Amino acid sequence: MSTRRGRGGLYGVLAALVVLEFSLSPWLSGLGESPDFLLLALLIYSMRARPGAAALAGFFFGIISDSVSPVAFGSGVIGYSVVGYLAAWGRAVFFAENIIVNAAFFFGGSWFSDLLVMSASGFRLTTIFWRLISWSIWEGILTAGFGVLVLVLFRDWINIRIAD
Amino acid sequence: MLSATERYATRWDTLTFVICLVLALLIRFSPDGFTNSLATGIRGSVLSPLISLQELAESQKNSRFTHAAVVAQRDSLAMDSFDSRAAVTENRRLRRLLALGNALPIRHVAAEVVHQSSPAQGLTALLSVGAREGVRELSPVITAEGLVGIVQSVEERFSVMWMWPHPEFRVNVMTADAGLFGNAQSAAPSGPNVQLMQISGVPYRDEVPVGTVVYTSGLGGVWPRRIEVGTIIEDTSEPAGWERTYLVRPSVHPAAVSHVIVLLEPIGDLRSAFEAGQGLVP
Repeated sequence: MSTRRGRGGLYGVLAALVVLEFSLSPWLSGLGESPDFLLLALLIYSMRARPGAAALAGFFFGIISDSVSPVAFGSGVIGYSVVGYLAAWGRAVFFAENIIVNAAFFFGGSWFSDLLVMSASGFRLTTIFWRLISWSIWEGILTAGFGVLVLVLFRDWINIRIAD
Repeated sequence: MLSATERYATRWDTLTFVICLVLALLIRFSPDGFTNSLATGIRGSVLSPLISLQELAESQKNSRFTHAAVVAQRDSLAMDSFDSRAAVTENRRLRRLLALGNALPIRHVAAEVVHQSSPAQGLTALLSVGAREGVRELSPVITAEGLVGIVQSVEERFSVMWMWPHPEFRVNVMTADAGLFGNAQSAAPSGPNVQLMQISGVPYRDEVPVGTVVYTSGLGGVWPRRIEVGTIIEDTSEPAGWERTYLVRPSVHPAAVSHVIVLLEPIGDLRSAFEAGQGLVP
């Protein structure tokens, strides 16, 4: 697969995830909870990108997130920038090519992002604590599950190797 | 020899990250007016098609999943309205006897709540109505069950609502017999999915039994009087204290809200309501 085609496939998957955030999330949240598709797009991009580019992508994804859920504008930008940078850096170090490791990567990214966003938003400590051990875990599991599904279905498009 | 991280994260990567982080911190600690206008600009331009898509999805989801509940709610409200008609007629007759004008009708507009899957879920929400429907800042937001929140900022097609768990949210409340007046706000959660309100600053002599329903008092002029807020479930006051604190289970859980009613300003000129009552002045 050529580099240009590989990038086109990656960007296509990222665009689809952004659209899913706005079209599928309402349906899933009606049933309980929904994966964080924006964060998933950021993490998938970070798997292929350099840390600087991933931080920049996190900055823009954070702006999108803050614009539609405006508790404290800028908290999502902080959270997503840090997670993007660390995800790209961590990916380079750990070379995760296993389904379980990738699932843990998505789960950890989602949970850590929630921690950063809530801390930067100025939530009460008790609120942060209870949300991290309930809502964030559930959302992290859903994000990880959906992320693994995307990797398995579109691994050729996003050019990621996964060991069987 | 360079380590894996040194090979991968170059100085430029680190510099880009630091710039992003500094910009993010600057945005976070910018004045609210700036960030509100930034968010409004992004929602009204780049994100406009996506938010419209989400609004459509919310609308379809609600019509699919909540149709039966909405019909049941409408039926029970219709039954309630039969009972209240006699009271309304009597109220009109008494107001005429006292030469009082008619109470000003409160206009309202129905809206969809556009939920987000973010940690801020349940604190703020986008509403599918905005300035073109007559929504203004501080417009109260309710459901048939009671208070939900208040409009924090308005743009042409959308508005941002602070739901009652938001740390900045406050409302003046009272009991039906006006035996208690206080200020209600969200209480620190004591467990996952436990979201309560607390009324603090109540004089120690104002004791109210558990199970009493509290309503908006109308003090402050933002909320109309008598919108249900919740039910008192516990008195958490210190026995030796000077004031009481009550825990309240709110009538509306933020996660359960899909449709809301935004109250708009009363129609007409307030002076007419007072001029009609001039007959009482000797």
